Amino acid sequence: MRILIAEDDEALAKFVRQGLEGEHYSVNVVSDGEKARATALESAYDVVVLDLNLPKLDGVSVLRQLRMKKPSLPVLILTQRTKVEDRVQCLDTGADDYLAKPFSFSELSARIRALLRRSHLPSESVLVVGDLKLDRVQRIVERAGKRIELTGKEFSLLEYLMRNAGRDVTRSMILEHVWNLSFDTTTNVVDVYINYLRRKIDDGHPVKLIHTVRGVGYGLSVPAEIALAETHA
Amino acid sequence: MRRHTHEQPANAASSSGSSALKRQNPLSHLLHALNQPLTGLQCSLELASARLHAAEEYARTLQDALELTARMRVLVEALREIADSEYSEQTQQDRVLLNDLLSTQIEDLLPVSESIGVHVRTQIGAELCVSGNRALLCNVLFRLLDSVLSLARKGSNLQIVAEREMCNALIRVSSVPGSAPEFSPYSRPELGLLIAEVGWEHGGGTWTQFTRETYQICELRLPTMAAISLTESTRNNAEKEDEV
Repeated sequence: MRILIAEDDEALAKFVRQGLEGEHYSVNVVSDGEKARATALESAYDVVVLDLNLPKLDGVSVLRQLRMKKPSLPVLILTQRTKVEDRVQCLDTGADDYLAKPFSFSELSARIRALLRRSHLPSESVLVVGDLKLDRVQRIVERAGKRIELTGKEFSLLEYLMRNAGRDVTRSMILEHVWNLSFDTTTNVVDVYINYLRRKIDDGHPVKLIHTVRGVGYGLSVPAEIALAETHA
Repeated sequence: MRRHTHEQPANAASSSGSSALKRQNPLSHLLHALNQPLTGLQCSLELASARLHAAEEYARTLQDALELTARMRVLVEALREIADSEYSEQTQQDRVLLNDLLSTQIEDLLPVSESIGVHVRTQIGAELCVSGNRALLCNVLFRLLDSVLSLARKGSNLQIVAEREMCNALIRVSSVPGSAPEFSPYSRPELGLLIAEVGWEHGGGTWTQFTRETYQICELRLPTMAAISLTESTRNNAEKEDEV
């Protein structure tokens, strides 16, 4: 997987590069907007990590031009700004995700993983993971054929986890997508809802679908050995 | 920076926490508060690089540095949000039913209050139609409740009242604070309250915070649509009379 980082802060670019290379990505770094545009258009990248405040050509202009030529190239914006309007503007301009500085490397890494697999996101109205089924239109959830009642927020949370089945999502990502909040809460609202969901989804079932990913957040998946056994069966 | 005079009920004690911070220029206070972890970080790294240490000592220094960085992040994020609120224009105005918005936010946080053993009592009666930016109001109310829950004493009551008070929609949140959080008054929930307060006032409301007996009380007021229409119509009439 190839990642292009467009970041003019050399120290930050170096750390991000080291971290991503440590996760076995192939990483290129450019330090201004013109190089970012040229490099991203000339070569094939799986993700572009783009700082908004770049010299020579600002990140928004780079993003606009990338979108015209490569509409499906995933772009993650790095920015100093956190206001909801800024986030909306970036997403409207065509960014796939948005991360405000200061950020932790684990947060950046989780978001890149999510972007890399976004093209495979299910768009169908019924989501299925193992024996768990969620109908987005009729708003029905069943596990092993048994109906499960969820509150509105629990349903949204489960839908988000199922749409991202097989990959980790951070608490910040959950807050953004399920609660529409662009800040970290002071209560453990995400953990509390995950616990509620666990009780309803996993209790009484030998196979647990909701997993805690230490230091990152949560994930929903069928454990690998079960998935493998089902494939062989 | 706009400053408000907070009127306090006659039998109320002086306010503390976020309101006390706010009245004394929050940006300057937060910038000052940044110096502490930053100095700690600089000194610990200087000491670590001054001579060779055992691997465990480096590991401890790095762990300390991460904790100091986390504190600095909290302060920087608060600074940025407050600066954004103070210097940005709220252009989009929606017709918002404040009582509905509040009920939704409370409902979302009920599982949290249950998990930390805080009993939420609500009294939300009248329809409170206000003009405001819906996203801003949602964020402010969520932050208010989220922060108050974090600061509340386990097993205590959290009372939330929403009612009409003359021309205003009034939200009163009364809670019993637990022991002071670490890094008070710059803890995350206290900063959350401060950010909510600045946001609410930026949205045209007034925010009063005071203590009464064991309760910490936040009163949020915002003119109702009816009051705004009345003011505008009075102003228009006055202008017409002037023209005549």
